[in-house]
Amino acid sequence: MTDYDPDNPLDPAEEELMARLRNAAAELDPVPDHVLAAARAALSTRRLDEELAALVADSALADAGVRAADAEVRLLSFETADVSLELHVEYRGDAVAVRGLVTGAAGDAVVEVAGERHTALVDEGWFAVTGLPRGATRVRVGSIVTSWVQL
Amino acid sequence: MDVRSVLASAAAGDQAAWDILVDRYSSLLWSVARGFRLGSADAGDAVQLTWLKLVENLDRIQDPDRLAGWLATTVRRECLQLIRRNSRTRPMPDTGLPEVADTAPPVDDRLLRRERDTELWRTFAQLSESCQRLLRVLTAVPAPAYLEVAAALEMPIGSIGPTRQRCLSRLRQLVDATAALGAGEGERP
Repeated sequence: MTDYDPDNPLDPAEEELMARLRNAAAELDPVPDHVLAAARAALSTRRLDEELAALVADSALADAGVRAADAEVRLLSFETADVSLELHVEYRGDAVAVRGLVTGAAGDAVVEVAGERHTALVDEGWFAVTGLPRGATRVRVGSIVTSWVQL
Repeated sequence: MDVRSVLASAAAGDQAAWDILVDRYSSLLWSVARGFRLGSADAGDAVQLTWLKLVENLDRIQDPDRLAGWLATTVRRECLQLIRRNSRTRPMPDTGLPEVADTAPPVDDRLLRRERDTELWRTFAQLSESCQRLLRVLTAVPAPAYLEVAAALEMPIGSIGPTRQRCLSRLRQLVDATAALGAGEGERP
């Protein structure tokens, strides 16, 4: 492959090195097949009949996380125009526990993670799910669904 | 590729259109994540979350011409979050070096080349983190535009060319030094 940065030309030895590096990356660290397969399957998560609640606050971005005795806690807020959903996420080792508070939407809460669905009753806006695996997660209540977040 | 129409088809549920996007940009996303020296599992998580976010935003991408930049920015943020999380909860991830037996003698050109690649990959891991990050992204296939690299690494676009030059010349020094060392020893320890 020829060099594509005429303003900062490489000498031939460096150009050859770049080509070798490309080969090495392709040979030794290609995109794993299961990553490609998961990416292709991601389209099936699309829902046209649901409203997306965007992530508007994440304590993991704001600070180093709140530590309880032996767990780590993360607070997430999602919103649509009419609905707000707060998640209180607790990590204990590799297990995740979620407590949520939803206002403006009715129905059970369904937590989707790693191909699993966990349904929780919503009582006066509150719900809780424990023993979740870590991974890309979203929560659905009624016709709203949160943005995906890595828990 | 007309990104706008591919996005529109994918948004309407067209799996073939979606697959075009996955095939076109997976290498870029993987290269960004590996450039941050995430282990294979974390890199996979960061890439997958990026695709999931694209699915939910298929009809919200404002400027299809910037799709690659949007993807690169999204995966970088996921990587930084994972790094922050790992720094609190987990030991350092692996470097991505494959397990390759050093003792087996190369029997043909392909093996010879692979051994040479592996040697280069080891040397590459001695570069500074910022050099590894940049060069790893530049190895993506197809080669990313500087605009995409800038988005992926949050670098001023004007500094990419000079930095690439500096990093490659540093890598060459390391390769030469390793070769000189290897010539003196005859066998790697």
